[in-house]
Amino acid sequence: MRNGRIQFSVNFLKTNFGSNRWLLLSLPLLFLALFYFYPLIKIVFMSFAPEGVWEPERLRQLISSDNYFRVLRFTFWQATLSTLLTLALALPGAYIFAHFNFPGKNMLQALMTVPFVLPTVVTAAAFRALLGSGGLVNSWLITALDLSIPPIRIDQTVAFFLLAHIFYNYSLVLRIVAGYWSSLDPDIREAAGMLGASPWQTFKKITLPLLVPAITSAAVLVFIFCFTSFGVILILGGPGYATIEVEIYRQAVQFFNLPMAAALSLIQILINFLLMWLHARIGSKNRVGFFSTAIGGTPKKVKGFLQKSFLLANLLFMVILLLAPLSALLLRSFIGEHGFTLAYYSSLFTTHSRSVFFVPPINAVLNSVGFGLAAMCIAVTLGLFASTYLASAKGRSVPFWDAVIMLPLATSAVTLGFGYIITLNTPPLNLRDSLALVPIAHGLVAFPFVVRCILPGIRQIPQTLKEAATLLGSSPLQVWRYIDLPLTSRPIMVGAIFAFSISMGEFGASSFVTRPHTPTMPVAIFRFLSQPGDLNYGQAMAMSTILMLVTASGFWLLGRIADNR
Amino acid sequence: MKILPTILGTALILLAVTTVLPVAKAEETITLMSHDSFNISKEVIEIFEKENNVTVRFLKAGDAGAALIQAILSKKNPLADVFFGVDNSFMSRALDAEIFVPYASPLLSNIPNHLKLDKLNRLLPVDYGDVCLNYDKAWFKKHTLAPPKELSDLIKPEYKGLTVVENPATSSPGMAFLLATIGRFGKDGYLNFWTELRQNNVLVANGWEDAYYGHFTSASKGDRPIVVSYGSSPAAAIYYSEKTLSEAPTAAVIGDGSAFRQIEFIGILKGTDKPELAKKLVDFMLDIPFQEDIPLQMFVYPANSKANLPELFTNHAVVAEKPVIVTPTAIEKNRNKWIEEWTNTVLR
Amino acid sequence: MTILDVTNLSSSYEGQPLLKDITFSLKKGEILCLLGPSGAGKTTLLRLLAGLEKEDSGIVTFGNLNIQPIPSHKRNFGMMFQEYALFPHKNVFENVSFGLEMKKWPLKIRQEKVAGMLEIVGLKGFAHRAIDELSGGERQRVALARSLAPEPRLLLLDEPLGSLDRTLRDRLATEIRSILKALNVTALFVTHDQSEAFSVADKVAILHEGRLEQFDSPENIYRTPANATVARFLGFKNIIYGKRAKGDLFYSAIEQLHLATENGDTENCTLLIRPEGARIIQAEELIKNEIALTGKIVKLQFQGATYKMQIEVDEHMLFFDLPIDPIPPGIGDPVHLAIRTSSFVRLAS
Repeated sequence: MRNGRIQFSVNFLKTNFGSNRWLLLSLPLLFLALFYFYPLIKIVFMSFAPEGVWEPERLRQLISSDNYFRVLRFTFWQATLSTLLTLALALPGAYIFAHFNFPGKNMLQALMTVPFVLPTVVTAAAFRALLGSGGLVNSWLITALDLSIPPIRIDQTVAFFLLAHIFYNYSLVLRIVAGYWSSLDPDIREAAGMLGASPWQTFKKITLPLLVPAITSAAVLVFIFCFTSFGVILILGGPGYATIEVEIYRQAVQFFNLPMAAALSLIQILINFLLMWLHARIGSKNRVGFFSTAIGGTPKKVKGFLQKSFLLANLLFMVILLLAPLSALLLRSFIGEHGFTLAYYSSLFTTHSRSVFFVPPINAVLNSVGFGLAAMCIAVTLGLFASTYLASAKGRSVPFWDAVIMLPLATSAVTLGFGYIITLNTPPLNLRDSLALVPIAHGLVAFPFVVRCILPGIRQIPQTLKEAATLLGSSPLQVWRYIDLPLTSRPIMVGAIFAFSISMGEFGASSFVTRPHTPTMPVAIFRFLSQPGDLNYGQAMAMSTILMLVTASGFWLLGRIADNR
Repeated sequence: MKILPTILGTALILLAVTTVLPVAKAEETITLMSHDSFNISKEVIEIFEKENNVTVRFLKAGDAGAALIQAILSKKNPLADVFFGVDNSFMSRALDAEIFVPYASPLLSNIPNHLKLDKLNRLLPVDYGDVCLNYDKAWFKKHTLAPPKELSDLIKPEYKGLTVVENPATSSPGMAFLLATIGRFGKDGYLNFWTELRQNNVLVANGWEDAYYGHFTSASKGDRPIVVSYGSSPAAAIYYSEKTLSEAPTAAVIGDGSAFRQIEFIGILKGTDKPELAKKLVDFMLDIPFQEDIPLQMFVYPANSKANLPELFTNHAVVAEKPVIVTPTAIEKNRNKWIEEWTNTVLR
Repeated sequence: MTILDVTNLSSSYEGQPLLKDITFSLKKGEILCLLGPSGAGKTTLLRLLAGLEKEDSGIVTFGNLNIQPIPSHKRNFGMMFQEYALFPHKNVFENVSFGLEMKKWPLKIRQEKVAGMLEIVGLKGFAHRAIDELSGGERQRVALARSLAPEPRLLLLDEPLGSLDRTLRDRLATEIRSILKALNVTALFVTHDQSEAFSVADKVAILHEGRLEQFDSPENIYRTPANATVARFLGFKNIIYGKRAKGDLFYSAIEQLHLATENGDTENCTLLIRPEGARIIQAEELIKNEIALTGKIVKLQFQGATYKMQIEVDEHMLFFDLPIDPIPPGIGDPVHLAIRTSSFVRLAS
């Protein structure tokens, strides 16, 4: 981060940075107050008393029916299971990415972030094309084993949405943990080896405990993501399963039971807040300081049979989990009723829809990228401020603020969207139908991600380095610019990537007012899928493929830049 | 690292430009709020804009239910001047919230009476369509099975495991289909039908997209040749086809008492500061140019009986002669109960 | 009877040679210092012995057993890292006890052993301190205790005093030697500091650009550096190039140091004059085994026990440490020196 990128905040900080750290937190808090707490509190109050009267009867069911308890239990259960499975599968991958160089690494890493931006409907289509009853694997098995019915029946099962949760979150865990892992001092591992610890013992007793900050950071994100899962459960799980988030939507939109929706939102927020507060407390207590002089590490070449086969097994897994559904999607966009066709793409670009809302696909791409970059700026700026504060501040309030920052992630999009409608309606904040609301809302959701990516990194920087810089004449701001920032450039990059992809994949149609003339790629995909006809379906797949391509090439480019730095 | 400042700078400029640009246009505007499925041809809306020297701003706010709630929530300071997309299942809720002002448009005379459900004309009918079963013609031909003719066919043993419906708690056609069964089998009998349908291995999807593109044999690699969709869906399947088709791959089942008629309404929002212009917009949306634009943009039928239907509709789309009727008040009163009962019967 | 035998060991990284043909042996209980400038290959050699890196060729045996196929955690060697590599999430006791834990010692015995080790390194009562509460010197002692606790057959120390200040360094160097000697541990000690090496080592190995230049006792290395590289590394400055004729005749660029008359064949030869063998004389009053030298004083610095004097002779600079008596003439004045012939060392080219 050089020259004037955040000029406004720099000037703002110049005089006060050292004496009052609070100012660091004030920008993120101001943002949260305006675009999160104010709308949320207002909608909750309004929901509990829609006509100015408090109607407790509408909440009675909350206690009298065991349905809500069931929903809560299911939400907890699936989030825990999804998180554990994702961690177990992604840790070996993180090891590989942290320690080895192999051809195509950057490309694979770029591709792996693609699931993050895919709308749920498209993910469902991809998995069904692969594993559905008429999908690739089943038809292959039917011919191979001469069966009459498809052997794999995964639709509307627990396995299906767990698979989707892993698909979505794998790269998140991999990136956060790998980034941190590669900065661990290799001497520590070797020291354990020299003291007689086998590689497995070293991993169990030394590496794993040291990775805890990064792993819990990633785990908390995955957990909240799955806890508030909406589309994945709705589409892949089918109507037999409902998370709190799904229930909130049902209560608000179908039953118009706003008190119940508000109560459920509060319960969801409260549970996640407690969880994150606990995580932050534990995290700040066993704050371990270790530091590799070669931060970022120097990845090695793969040597030996064991390493090679471990690497291959993991890469194979990634390919099967991530690339197979994506390729199924890609194939589907080229195959019509009568075999190979380019019709879906050509119609995407030449269609002469008379609709006033029609925009050429390239505009949807530009809209998505523009919103994504703006949201990334907001999230990274806020994330940097908040992380710097959290890393340097001491005391009991730190875990509290840490958890507060995470709240936007745990909040029902429907509830917050409704909150915007009733609050951001007077100048100068007459934003509820403004285009600016899109990057603001996306930035709000991406901001906690950025903090979770950067914070473990900043906390790791030894105090002595900063002291050294101070004694060499750096102002606190310069210390931050020349020490903190360069040493955390990797985590910042990871945070920026995720902020960008969250925005690229965000489809808030059910909760936010949209301006139909500036659709993003996911919105364009949904438009195709809302009417019957194979051309619509094909165009949706073609648009999804373009979304994949744009995302992957963007990240590939970012990766190249980061490596050549 | 030099690329990052560039990216961030560009993005900030983009953000500024996109925020400021709309302000720069100081022309008079009128705002139409709707659900996501609303559509209109460019040249049609231009007629209105030129006639009145005004720009129409469109806002879309999610599905029909979500859009209505947002209109209700913002009633003190409305987001728009005119709201389109309240259907008969949400009508009572909208009227109870008192967000619309009455307007007896002169064009109402061209609209058949059975579509005019609000006697006070706060909500005026714009279009209608039937939610009904669709089936995959090729599949039934290949399996030499007679396609379904009405709802009770679905519980026959030979139709076991053939149907996919939408969840009424999360999908508007799902709700409409539940209402169809309530109208057809009565408030006391509909649960028996669903119990038997469940035993006949019905599949429930949470949304139309998922049912149609995820499970319906004609549109996906699914294994369900019967799906709940619209009477106009076969026409849409022809219209949006990669190759030109002479015959629709699917057909709609509109036998007596098998379809629920969804009627969509428009209304002027209380608190608009352009009441005259709002009236003009409502008139325009009930008038021939827009009414004739409706079928191929939204795949429903125009409410104005003077509007001509495109050939595609006269040839391939169908309307039920005797659709199921459930009054909006009855729907609003019983919605939660019915959905709850349905959920207990079909899903638990 | 040697215990560690290294024969023709070579290693490289991405085509760049790091170690070339290293051969040496060590007896049980001996302390070897690997001395050399940074980049000489000292750490690489240490890591090869530890089993943390793989050699290209060569043989390493320990107690007559080839240890190359044995993974590092089974060699029962100890290693002390440059930055100590203490486990940051474990306290002092847990760090020191880690190696014993790996050997599955029962807790009771571990506690005794750790207490004993902490006492030896002077950290009694530190068992439950967290690592980040320790000073640099304390961390260094914990690291030493940790590497010694499992009674390694060979202890490898990688610049263990590198990041400490001079005084602490001198004190700890002597302390480490006495601890290692008391426990009779065979050890390899990497450093780039010769005074540290001389105070710790029984044997010193000078490494330069991956080559073992000299392997001998500290005294021998100082008295007779094997070549100009070694001499320069040891800090000697008076290195003079010249020709050598039959007999011990030497012709250099400095006329006064033509040690004999010219005759017969000559070959290139390098001569070192150690700085401490000179005294100031009045004109020509040489005694036996001394050579006279006259020059002009360029620099003079009083050091306490000695003067450091830089003189110019035939446009060459020579450096000497002189006793404080007699008082030398001032800067710019001519000076006559007598140099003991034992201070002249002929270096191999």
